[in-house]
Amino acid sequence: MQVDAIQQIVIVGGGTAGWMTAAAIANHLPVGACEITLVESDAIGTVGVGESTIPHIRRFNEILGIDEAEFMTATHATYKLGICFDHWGREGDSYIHPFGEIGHMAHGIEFHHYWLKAQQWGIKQPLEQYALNAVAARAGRFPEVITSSGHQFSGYAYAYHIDATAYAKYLRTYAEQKGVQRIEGKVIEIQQAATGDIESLMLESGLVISGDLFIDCTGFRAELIEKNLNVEYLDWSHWLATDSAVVVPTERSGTIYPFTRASARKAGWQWCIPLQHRAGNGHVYASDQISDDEAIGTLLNTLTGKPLAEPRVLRFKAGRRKTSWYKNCVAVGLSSGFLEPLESTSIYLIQFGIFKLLELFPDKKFRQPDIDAYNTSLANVYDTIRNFIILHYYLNQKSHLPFWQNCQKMPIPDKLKTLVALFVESGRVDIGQFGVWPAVCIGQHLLPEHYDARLDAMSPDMIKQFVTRCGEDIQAETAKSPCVNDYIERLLAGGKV
Amino acid sequence: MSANKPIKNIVIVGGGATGWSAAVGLARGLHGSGVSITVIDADTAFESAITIASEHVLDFHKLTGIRDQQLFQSGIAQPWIARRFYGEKGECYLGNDIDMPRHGALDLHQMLNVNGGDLSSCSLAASAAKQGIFAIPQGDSPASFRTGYIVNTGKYRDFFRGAAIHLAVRAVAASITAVEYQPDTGFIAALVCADGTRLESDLVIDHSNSQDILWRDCSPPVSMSSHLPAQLMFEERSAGRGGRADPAVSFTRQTNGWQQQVHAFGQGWLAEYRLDGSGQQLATGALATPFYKNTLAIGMRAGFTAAPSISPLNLAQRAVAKLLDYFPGTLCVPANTAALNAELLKDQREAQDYLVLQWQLADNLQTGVANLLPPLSDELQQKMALFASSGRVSSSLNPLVTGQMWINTLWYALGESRGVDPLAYMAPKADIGAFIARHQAHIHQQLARLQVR
Repeated sequence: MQVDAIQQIVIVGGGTAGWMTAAAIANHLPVGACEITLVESDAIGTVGVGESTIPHIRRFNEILGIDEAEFMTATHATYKLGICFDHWGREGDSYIHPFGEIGHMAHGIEFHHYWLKAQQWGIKQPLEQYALNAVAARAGRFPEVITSSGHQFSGYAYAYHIDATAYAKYLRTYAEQKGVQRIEGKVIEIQQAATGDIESLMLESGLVISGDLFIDCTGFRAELIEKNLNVEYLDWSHWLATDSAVVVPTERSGTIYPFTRASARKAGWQWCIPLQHRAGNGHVYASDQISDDEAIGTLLNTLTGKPLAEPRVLRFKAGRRKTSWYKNCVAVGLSSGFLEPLESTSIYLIQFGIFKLLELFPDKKFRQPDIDAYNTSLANVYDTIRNFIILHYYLNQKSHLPFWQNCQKMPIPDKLKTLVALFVESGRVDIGQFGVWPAVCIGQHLLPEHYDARLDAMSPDMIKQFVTRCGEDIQAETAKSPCVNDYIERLLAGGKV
Repeated sequence: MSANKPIKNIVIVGGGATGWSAAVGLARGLHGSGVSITVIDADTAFESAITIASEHVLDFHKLTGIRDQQLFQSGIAQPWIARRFYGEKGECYLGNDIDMPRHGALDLHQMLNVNGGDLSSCSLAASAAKQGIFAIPQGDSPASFRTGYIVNTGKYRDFFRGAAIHLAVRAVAASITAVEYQPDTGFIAALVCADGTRLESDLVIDHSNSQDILWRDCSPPVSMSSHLPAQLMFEERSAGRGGRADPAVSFTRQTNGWQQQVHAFGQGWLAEYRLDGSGQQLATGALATPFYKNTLAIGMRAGFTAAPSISPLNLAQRAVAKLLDYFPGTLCVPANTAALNAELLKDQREAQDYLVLQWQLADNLQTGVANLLPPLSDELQQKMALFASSGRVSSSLNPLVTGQMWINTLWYALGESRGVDPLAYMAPKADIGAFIARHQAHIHQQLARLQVR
């Protein structure tokens, strides 16, 4: 039986995908069970712009036993409570999509129903005023109560803004300490068996690396899964029209606001991500709508700090691999699919792919039912997030701009149609959806026709008091919370706050 | 556009344990909202005299504030902790296990795959049941399994009727003689009973024994294709007084169907599901749209499920909980209805798949039986293929049947053709052996303590 066990795992490509994979696998497998090799070339750059994360990264770090203070020091991280979307529904709009809950559920009914009902009595505060994360974020505070359990606000999640290149470097140290072998070199040839399985790689130096299981972390180039195994890439450009990004780092000083800012632009959007030592900025756009020069101009004209380097242009294709796992090759990271970072999901998708692989870890037989289960899972998570991102583009009222008018009118995926119809009709969201739907829908002016009818049988005073109370509690908690800069300083100085 | 108003009147058509459970569930869930609930306690859909309720009943009792001790003390319910499948080829015990301990990332059953050993020896519930011991999880310490309840259906009904009346639910004993419909929507507007009572109904819960009562020219919802024989005959009878109470529910294949045995309330009970012969005829389909216009069908009305899977009573109780999540207004707007139906059908399909797998397991333990089961559903085939490949089960959101219960059932249903997690071969064998031994010793200790009591 042991004859069939995987003995050699080869990860092709470094960067966040490669080193997260190496670190997680090395941590998961029994010591000495497998040889894990990562091949990367210093000559080939990594994308290096994935800098905003979602709370699931904390689980990744936790499983790997990575200390938060150490992690935040190494990655120059700041906290993230959510994403601020400017000019998405209409010009001049600004709403925060927070992590965690909005208000509280009562009598089995979600808070936004109460909020909708309360509008009738002149309670006109935006929905985000009832999310601790959103209120604290705008005030530049970190509500540390969300890090503990048992408090009425606990379970509110948070994530980080990180220097992804530094994260990869940190994980490299971690992985090498756990026995992962790093080989420097460029892959020039891939040898396949008659079955189509990958047998070995040849590097420029002539070195041949053989393996049982290959993980393709070669990014957009997808050297193994596409160039060799010819696995189809599903093109989503008809739903997500942006195909380029121009990025530039800037100086950052003063108050750290714990949110990612995503501002809609003429034919795309622009992000600003605060780190400890700098800010990351990027303008995502559709190159058939505006030229690279115009895109660069827009970016440079709207920076809130001094540029620290020349702007760089990147191209991408929205979509995903039809099957991320094919034969003895698993694509993780950009080789398995790409969605623009509108909801900061790139690192999450890497993490998801890695953990799913560990859950379904194969032997040399590479049985199809396990591979199918993996592919179904990955397809589902990619498609779910894709739909959520399309939603942001779809719910706009900027008919004066051709790009945005197209987004209003484009046919959307059936599943998304159903979800939108459900929310529009009765303010309900199916379980298993990604993100806080009421925040995005209401933030972009999609208001339900009907709130939960049971509210009309409740005492108006009770509802008013409940809603007002929620808002007041949040204001009070925010006022008590430390300023983000101070909190980070304390954490890094003492390890614990 | 007419306004969506709060539901003010709910009429539950058909009583029984199911109808009265629904009444209590709704009365509790809608407490303080001024909704009036009436049960028409006549023309009730079929319920067996003894119901084998799965552990899901605990969730419903928690939701409705029912204290289980009361049910035991009044001889209404008796706990069961494992299923026993038996036949000429042998027997096996499947505990109602919640979770089994892991060694790192390795599941216990995977360790057994490598180390050898029987799954039931690692389950306190299964081990206890094998020895006829009623191991009941005590309140405080974390339990490794959950009890189901063998329920005297009539007494359970009476108990819930009492609870419902206490919550101001009204009862009408007369049958329906006429149905009034809203002219524009075709929704049911009111139900008229033989005693002259006229009940306005914004929402109707259907646990009746005939759909002709409630639908007139609206075409009735289409049946979902079933993975069972189109019809089954059901018969139950007492097997005589005396004998010991049994903490397991037993199940076996017979020539023309399947038989279930329990020992509860001082006597044995047999229930049989047959392709033909005498007894109550049960259609095995399910409604494709259990929530239709302003009527929600529950229990056997909504679809067939049977022992040893999740009972219709359990599915009905879950349906009430889901209804509260998607509670409509008077308009019963369509997207909300569709979403609720999707949730309800998920449960129905899973209950049927679970049933088919268990009947398959029973078949495997007999010799020379004809295959009475039609082709498996895609989902069930995938589950079996994955388990045969690597002994794994996919996780899903808010499942009806938990991962561990699927593992337990697949373990025995597939037997030697189950697969093994490759990771199990990578861990040091000595470590695995030691872990299993420790766990089994722990179970011995717990059993010994229980026997002393």
